[in-house]
Amino acid sequence: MAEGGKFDHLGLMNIQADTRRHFLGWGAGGLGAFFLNSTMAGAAPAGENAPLDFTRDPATPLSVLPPQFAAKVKRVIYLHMGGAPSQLELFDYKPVLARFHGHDCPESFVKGKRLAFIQGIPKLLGPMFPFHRAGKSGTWISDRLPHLEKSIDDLCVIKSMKTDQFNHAPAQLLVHTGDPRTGHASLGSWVTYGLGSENQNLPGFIVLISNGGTTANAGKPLWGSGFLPSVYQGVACRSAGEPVLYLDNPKSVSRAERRKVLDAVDEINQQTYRTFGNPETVTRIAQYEMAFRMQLEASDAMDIHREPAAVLERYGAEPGKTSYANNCLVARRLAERGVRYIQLYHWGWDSHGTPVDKGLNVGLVGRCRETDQPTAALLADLKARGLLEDTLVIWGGEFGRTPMWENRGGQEMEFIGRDHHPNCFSLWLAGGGIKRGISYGETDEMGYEIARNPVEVRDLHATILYLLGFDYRRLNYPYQGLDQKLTGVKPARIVSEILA
Amino acid sequence: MAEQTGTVPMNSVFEFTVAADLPQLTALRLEVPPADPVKARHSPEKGFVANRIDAWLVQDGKAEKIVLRLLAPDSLADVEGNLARMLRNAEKPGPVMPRLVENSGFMADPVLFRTKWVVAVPVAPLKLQPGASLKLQLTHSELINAASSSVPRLRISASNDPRWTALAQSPALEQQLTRLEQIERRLKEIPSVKLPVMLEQAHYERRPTLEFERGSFLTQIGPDLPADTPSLFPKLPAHAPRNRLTLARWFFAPDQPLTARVAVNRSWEELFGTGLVETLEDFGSAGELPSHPELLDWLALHFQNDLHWNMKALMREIVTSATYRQSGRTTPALREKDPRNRLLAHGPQQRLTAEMVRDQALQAGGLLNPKMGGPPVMPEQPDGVWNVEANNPERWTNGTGADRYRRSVYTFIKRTATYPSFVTFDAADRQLSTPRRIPTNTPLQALVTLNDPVYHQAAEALAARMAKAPQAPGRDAVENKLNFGARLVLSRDISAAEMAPLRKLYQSAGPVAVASALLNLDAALTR
Repeated sequence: MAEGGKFDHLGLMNIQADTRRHFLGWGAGGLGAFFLNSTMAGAAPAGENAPLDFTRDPATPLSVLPPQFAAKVKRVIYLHMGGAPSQLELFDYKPVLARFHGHDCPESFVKGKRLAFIQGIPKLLGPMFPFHRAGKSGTWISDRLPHLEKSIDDLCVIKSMKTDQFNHAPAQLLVHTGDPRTGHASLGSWVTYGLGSENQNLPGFIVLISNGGTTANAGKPLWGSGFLPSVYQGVACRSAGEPVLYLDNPKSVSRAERRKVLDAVDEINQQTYRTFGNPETVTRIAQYEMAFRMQLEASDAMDIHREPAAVLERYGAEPGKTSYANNCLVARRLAERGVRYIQLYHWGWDSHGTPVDKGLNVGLVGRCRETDQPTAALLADLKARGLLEDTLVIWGGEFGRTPMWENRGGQEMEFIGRDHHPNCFSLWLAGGGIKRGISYGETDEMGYEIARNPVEVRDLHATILYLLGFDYRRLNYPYQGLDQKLTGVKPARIVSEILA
Repeated sequence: MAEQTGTVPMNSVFEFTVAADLPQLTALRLEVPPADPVKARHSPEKGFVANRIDAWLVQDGKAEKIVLRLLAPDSLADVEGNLARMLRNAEKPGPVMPRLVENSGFMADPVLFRTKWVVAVPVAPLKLQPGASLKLQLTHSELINAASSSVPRLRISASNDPRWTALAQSPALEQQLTRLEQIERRLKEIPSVKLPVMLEQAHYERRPTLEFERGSFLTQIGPDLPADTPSLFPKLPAHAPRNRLTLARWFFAPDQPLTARVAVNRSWEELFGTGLVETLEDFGSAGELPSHPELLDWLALHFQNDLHWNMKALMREIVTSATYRQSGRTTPALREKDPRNRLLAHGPQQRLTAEMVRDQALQAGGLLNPKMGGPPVMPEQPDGVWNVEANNPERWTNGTGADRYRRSVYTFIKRTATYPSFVTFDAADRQLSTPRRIPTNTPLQALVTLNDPVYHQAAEALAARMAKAPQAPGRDAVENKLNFGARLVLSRDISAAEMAPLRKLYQSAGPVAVASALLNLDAALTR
């Protein structure tokens, strides 16, 4: 460390060598305890679901582990459009629905169904914006995403996603943790648990949120570690202000002074170890050193001031503000620096037509404007830097929207909207291992049900894990008597048709 | 009976025209039954709120407004605080009432699980000629769950029993209504807490409990199940009522095998880091066996019979035991043999819990506010952590004054935005039932104890206390301060070897740096 201060590397290494032999052991409830669990393969017969071995030196819980088999991608950037963007206004073109605009919807659409807010017999609502075929692939897209359209030949658009949740929080939880209830490990946690992260000086799983002061309905459980050790939870970072909470020293404490404090703490901790022999002490020394390094690296990673003006303009990013554009640029920087799982949330797509900001003809337009250019810029930037080929980029919401015109509680509304629709929604993927310039799956003429190739959320999860180099059945963790998996207890399938 | 279909606009007013075939009418009963009365008892249907009931008598080509003297509801459950107003069918101009702050009216809010009815009594009996009809108007101007809440179906019955009129006209009723209004007003003025207090429901309101087929609440199969305890355990006393009190007593019955064992095991885990039974939450077949079964048995009976369930006495007994008072020192040989110290060859060494880390820093700094009880507080937290959500009106307002330094256990908890410094130290965020916390050791924790403002404030306060340390004979001034600080944080003197780096730090960076270092020592964070 070129910074002055006398951190005793050699002393620490000696101690670590001493404890490495015992790292599985000590500390009732320390990291040792849960790592024991993952090696308790002896407790269950080895077989199709036998857990893989994720033991690590407790001092570096995010150290890199190899995937089960050769991976197509090394990192994930998940762009979640909170509130459920209307597929009928963006990707799923339904000309037949357009012809029936304003007619009463068929009784079969509503009879016996549980709908979020629609009651009685609503009218049908045709697409609000014109569609066209784009790129060499001829993929259908509306006129709302002119920037993304330029990358259309890099995308794989799945139009036949389906879920069984029709409200936001459980649906978001299902998409990000595999279960509609809280308490399960998020995708990012599974990935960092299985693979670690390539940069030990930054959190391995970072979350960036934009659009006002609001957050996703389901809140922090969406990036929580659930039953996995808490070290694998996502860290929500801000692209304005302090990126990681408490990263910055108090105003009166300089970095040099902080170094002196750490030197004293380290020296005394080493004495403590010599007296008591607790391996957690050694781990603590290492964590304090990592925190010190993280202060520099995280600040640097999240700081977009240093980007050239041309880049800022391409994203539409403004340093010092919080915006989706800023978050996309930070996501690229984090990807370059080895962060394993980067999650963006952008809220406000819930186009019911209740408040003005949530109408299809107002709110959706605004959301598209906020996200179209930065998303396209991110894709192009990753591609230009050679990162897209081993990154998986995902864009989507938590369910779809109805082909019916929302009539909340059976009454007319002031703005145009669609209700929640779990039966089908659209999502796109881009990056390593994914076929480029294709559409997968189809909905029926009215956009009500899936007509071909349904993809359950758990199927998407199985496919993501496959691309990262895991058999989704083997990436599991024993908890409450069950070998918990991201994909849950129902069988899942890898969507091999979209794999390159 | 009339049934609602189709799309209903907001603020609907429903009109019913009822052919009357009685010569005299003294009361009208309006009933709203569920579509499936049997199923609705356990799986209720959408509810309704009718804010006003108005009626007219239509005969001789005229519509004459009927003055409804009394509206008698079927139960008091939905009208608390508004009973007088409801009963009087308070007069307001126009058919549509402005949005009400408190619910009032004829309702099943939010769900309908049994027939609801109200009896409307005119001030005087209505004399009806042949061919007369009644026009009834129900006004709905409240929403349930952001959706309109109109009556789904309505059955209207008529009575000519003169006792209804007598009731409506009785002066005693008028007196009672007035008195009721006064009492309701006084009740409203008594300060209360926002958190509702749960009561057992009145017997007639109770819903039956059926078995969930394969655990699904959507498929419930009869018959009604009586309350009972698992057959594995001692039976409920034969003649005791099947209620919560009986159940509470059952937990503490002398022949109840589990309660005391689980309780002492938890206390053991708090003090030693691992319970005698490691799975605190599971003493069954999926749990672990006790490491010391005779000790567990003895402790359980001792706690129950000798200590009479007194937790303080139990704790005192454990911490004064030779086992607890062993040094935490261990050797490589011991670690090899018993890496998790299940055999208790040395004293416990566990990281402080999230709440302890903060309380300790405040205590050492002399800042901890020992006040007990009262509403939760919001210690300082940076902007953007709380994350305002559309449907949730609460805001995090950083506490001021003494509220900043209350004990950690009084910190406001919100599942989707738990106080971050606690989460970093593995506090449960209440998403999962968390019988045991698994402590971790991460760089984010270091950032908290170094940089969270409360720790810096504690360090400054600790430095100030050290400056005023009473001088002990035989120590130089600097060492005196440092040792005083160590005693506040570590409850012991520091050794000469530990003194050297602290002294150096004091000289190069000052007392606050030393205080911060003390609060971040592994020894400070381990007990």
